[in-house]
Amino acid sequence: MSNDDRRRERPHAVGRQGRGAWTLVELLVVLAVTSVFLLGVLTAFVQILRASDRSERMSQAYQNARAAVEAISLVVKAARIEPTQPYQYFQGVNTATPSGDRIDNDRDSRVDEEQPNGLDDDGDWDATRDDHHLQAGTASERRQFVGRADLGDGHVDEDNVFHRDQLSLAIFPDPAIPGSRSEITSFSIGSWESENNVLLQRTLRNPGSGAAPELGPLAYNVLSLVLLYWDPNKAEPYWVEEWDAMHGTFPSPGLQLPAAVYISVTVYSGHVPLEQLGPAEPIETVTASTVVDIESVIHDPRYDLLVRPHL
Amino acid sequence: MGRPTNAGFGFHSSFILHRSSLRGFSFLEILISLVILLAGILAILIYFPNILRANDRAIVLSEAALLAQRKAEEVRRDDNLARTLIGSIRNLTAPTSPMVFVENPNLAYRFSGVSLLHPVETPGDPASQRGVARIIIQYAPGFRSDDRPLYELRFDE
Repeated sequence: MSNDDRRRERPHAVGRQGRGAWTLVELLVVLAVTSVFLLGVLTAFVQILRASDRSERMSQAYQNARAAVEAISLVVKAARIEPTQPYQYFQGVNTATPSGDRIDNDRDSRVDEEQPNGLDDDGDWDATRDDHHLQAGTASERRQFVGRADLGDGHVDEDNVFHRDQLSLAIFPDPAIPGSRSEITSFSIGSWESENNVLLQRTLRNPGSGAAPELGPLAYNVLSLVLLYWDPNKAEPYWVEEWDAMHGTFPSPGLQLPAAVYISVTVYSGHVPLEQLGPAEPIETVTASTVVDIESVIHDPRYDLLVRPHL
Repeated sequence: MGRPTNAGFGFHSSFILHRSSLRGFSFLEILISLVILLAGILAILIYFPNILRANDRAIVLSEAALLAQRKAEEVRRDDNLARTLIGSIRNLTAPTSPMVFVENPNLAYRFSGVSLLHPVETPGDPASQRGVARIIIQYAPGFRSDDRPLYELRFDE
């Protein structure tokens, strides 16, 4: 075989005089550039995957929490004082747990030091910094609390323990509306099909008809359910942690139902299964919360008599 | 048997016919192709955060709706017999300055009697009607400079 033949067989080896095969240095440079480039791509990709995973978990958890808040809101909104009934049934039970998310949310070197009660338990509310009241013209929202700490201000209920509150209420049929809704509903955190931390709704439709109650899950991995009740009977109406329409005292012209309910649902959003978390590890959560007025109360003539004149 | 030819095998033959002119890639060519590859992959990577942002925006809109509802319910609960607060909100011809939510410092709310989503009043369109109390949710000014409304809730006493 001639030299020309060999060159035709190994074209890359041809032309070392100026073109053709790479030198070792060129090969190393290309390898180095490629490695750096691939490392960058891999790092970016891993970060994107992590962010995507976290975003997906938070989104799922938030949608679950929000769906639960909406479900409770719908029932609470339908509650009303039925004067034809011998008693009203609206029972909110307050149950605190010893800990919260194990995160110092307000960075005061204390962890989970507050109860979710609308009060500044840890005494860190500051009037110049935390008193939030949006004004429309000369009127102000929550104006009865201007200059005082209340729920909606900064540094109030910002580093709470978890609660497992419960609410049971009756929606009485409206005699003026034939076939109107009649049910007893309750919400609580419990177990469902061997899974713990499930927010459950139990509904008994048409009580007295012999129908069996329906029990079903509203949301899974629920770590906290907080319910507060706006008491219109107090000299200064504000949130209370418990309500018992049946056994409470409501001196005339008292309202046996709260004017509004604060609903807050906290759902676990971490990637490690909850039961595998260490006893001191921070707990990643998302919370959905809202306030729902009980229409029949805020439009009741007694509310106009008890509350509105002082606003 | 003679030497096999490539006649009739155009694709193969084209490679063979030009073998003499082939000399592999030059260093510069490799670097240029790497840059093009990098640009392509970066373009794909840049697209991913947009997907994440869309996901985050869905959460933000969902939260904005709950927070707006909360504010409206507080206003209705706390208004006096003359409905001074709702009346004052209805009379606003421009939104108030934004107030940051304590529950989510990335969001802020404003009261308004006019719509920001539908600034031109159209007869028969309740969304654009003036003189209706509204809660408008937007990003907090310290979080994003984008002050366009995310969510607008009309409410009454």
